[in-house]
This record gives sequence, C-alpha cells and structure tokens, in this order.
Amino acid sequence: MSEHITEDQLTEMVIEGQMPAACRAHLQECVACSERLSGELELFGSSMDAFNASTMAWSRSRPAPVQHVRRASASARLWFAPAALTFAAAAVALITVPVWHTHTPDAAPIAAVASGDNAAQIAQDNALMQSVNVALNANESFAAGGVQPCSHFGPPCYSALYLIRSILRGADEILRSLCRPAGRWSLLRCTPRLRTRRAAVRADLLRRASAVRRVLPVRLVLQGPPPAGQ
Amino acid sequence: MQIAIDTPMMAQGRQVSILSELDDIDSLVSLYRPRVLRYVTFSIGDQDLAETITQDCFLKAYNGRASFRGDCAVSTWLFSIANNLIRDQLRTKKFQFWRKAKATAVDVHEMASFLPSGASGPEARLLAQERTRQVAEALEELSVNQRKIFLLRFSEELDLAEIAEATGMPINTVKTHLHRAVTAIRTRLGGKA
Repeated sequence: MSEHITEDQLTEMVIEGQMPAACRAHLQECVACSERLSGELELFGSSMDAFNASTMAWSRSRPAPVQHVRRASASARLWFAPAALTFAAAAVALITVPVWHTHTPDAAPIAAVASGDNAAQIAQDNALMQSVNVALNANESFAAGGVQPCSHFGPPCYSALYLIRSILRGADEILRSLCRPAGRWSLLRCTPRLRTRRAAVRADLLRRASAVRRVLPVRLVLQGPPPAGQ
Repeated sequence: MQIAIDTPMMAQGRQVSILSELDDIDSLVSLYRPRVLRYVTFSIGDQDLAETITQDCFLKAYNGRASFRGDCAVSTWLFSIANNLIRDQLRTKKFQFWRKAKATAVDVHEMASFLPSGASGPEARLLAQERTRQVAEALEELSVNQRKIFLLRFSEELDLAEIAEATGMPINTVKTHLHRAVTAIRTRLGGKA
C-alpha cells in the first residue's frame, strides 16, 4: 500500500476539486484515507455553501443606491463648447478690465477734485452721463429711467457678487454694466472723474467697450451723436 | 478564463455584445452588485466602506467601459477594478483608524441569519448558521491577500488564472496564498487534525 494522503494533498484536492492519479490509486486501497477525504470535502463544501448562501442573501438585501450617471447627449455637447468659450472670455474680461481701469493715468486726480463737488455739479454730471447712456444704449429700457446722483466719490468699487452675477447673465450683461451710468455697482459711478474730463468720457467708454468687444463674442452697437457740451 | 474567440467576426460580435451590456448601467448593477458587494465586504471587513467601494467600482466600470477589451469575463474585470479600489483604500490612514475602531465591522451573526429559507429544518439551519459564522470568523484571521483570493476562488468560483488577472498577481503567488488560506480555514472548521 502506498503512503497515506497528507494534509497538503488534502488541501490541494480542496483547491483543485480533483485528486491526483497517485492519490486516487491509494484511496481505492485505503478506507481510512477515503473516509477522511470525503468527510473533509463534505465539511468544507457544506460550510462554504452555507457561507455563500447567507452572504449572498445579505448582499442582495442591501439596497442599491441610485446611480446618477450623466450621459452627455450630442445636443449638450453642441452648446457646451460655445458656452465654455463665452464663460472663459467673460472671466478674462472681468480680470483685465478692472486692472486696466485701475491703471489708467487719470485715476489719481479723482480724490483731489472730489472735495470740490456740489449738488449742481453732480446734477450736471449726471445729466451728461444720462446723455452718454442714451447714446450708447438707445434701445435699453434702463436708459430712460433717470439718473440719480451718486454720493460715492472714492475710488472705483467692484462688487464680486455683481461680477459673478454678470457672468451668469452673459457677456452682453457685462457690456451693459460698463455703460450703465448710475447703477448701484456701476464701473462708472465715480462722477468727479467725469467732471474733470468730460471730453474723455465718451472716448473712455468707447475704448473700454471696444476692448471688451475684442474678447467677447457679442455685438456692441453705439448709436447717436456725441453728447452736447464736449 | 479567456473567452474563446476563434474568428475576428466572433470577436467583433462579442465585443459589441459586451459593450452594449456595459452601456446599461442599471442591468450591470443589478446583475453584479451583490457579488461585488459581498466580495468587497469580506475582503476589507467594513460594511460602510464596502458600499462606497462597490458604488465607485460600478461608476468606474461604466466610465471606463470603452477600455474594456473583452478578453475576460465582465465579472473578472469588475473584481479587478474592485481590487484596485480596495488596495487604494487600505493605504489610507482613515481606513486604518476605523479598522482599529471596528465601528462598522461586518456583523457575522447578522449575516449568518440571512440564510435563505429552504427546505431544511431548524437544526440544519442552525448548523448552517454556525458554519457561516465559523467561515466568516476564519476569514478575519487571514491576510488581506489570502482573504481576497480565497473569496474569489470559493465564493465567486473564479479559476486560478482569472484570480491572477483580477488581483494582478502571478499565478504561483495566487496558489501560495490560496493554499495557506485553505489550510487556515480547514483548521478553523475543525477538519484538520
């Protein structure tokens, strides 16, 4: 009789699920090894069956979370690229225009002349700004709404909230904000500059608008003659 | 393990079939999620983390379905993705902390009670629950690699070559881990003297 089956051979049989030829010959002769093998396979097999059945039942009982997978459609891809381009251009404009505005050479006299303002001058400035506004935005409804005196004479103030909202509204809205004379957060709210450099207002506006126009894919229409008094 | 592809035409047809199968993420999840969740749960021993990894696994599979070549079964591919996620997770300190805390460890007793109600009587059910608990506890004592390979072999019924592919290990390493794991489980079950 050949040697009895070792533990390693038993493990191999469990793993492989079949017995080597040498072992098979021995099992035909040795009743003890045969019973040991069958008992081992039965214990291991039944244990794994119970484990697999329980765990699979448990796993199936676990609720599957809802999978929200975004499936990009062809139409979505079509509008996404121009929208991304517009957004990027608007972001560039928002960075470049304020920086440019801050570095204009006429920014320094603002504080110097601010102390000399009075109500009549402010009213005159606002009348001028209204005429500029009408010339730039002949078709805009807000142009006819009147211009209120601006009480802020400090340096230009830019609201992050307003700028973010401008992005969301689109590049065209950014242009409107440049041209709006007395909006709450207008880029042109500082009237002393206009008082000291009336002749430069329109040129300044045109320069800014054309600069934005270079980077924004929108159409800017300037209408009407230069305002009176230049 | 390898899907037998005799002709280019068959290969193309098989590829199209697999890709269309992968395109339907709902079917993919309903078909394979229980297996993947069970495998991940017992591989890392953490229920909550296993749910997260399983979800990530399907999301990753869906997003990367174009890269699936079709040269192995979908389940093998999913298990390989799960293995990568498990490996990444095991490296994090957060996982090591929660592992020590055992806050969300697998509840073996709860799991054993999930035995489906078959024709067996109460005694047989009790015996089956006891064996389930023994196997689950024995699995906890194995190393992560031994546990993963044991589960892939005896729960997911992958052959050695498929396990090697799913785990990224050489087949001889797989055999070594499997041999040690089976020896340990047998000892725990009382079959080994």
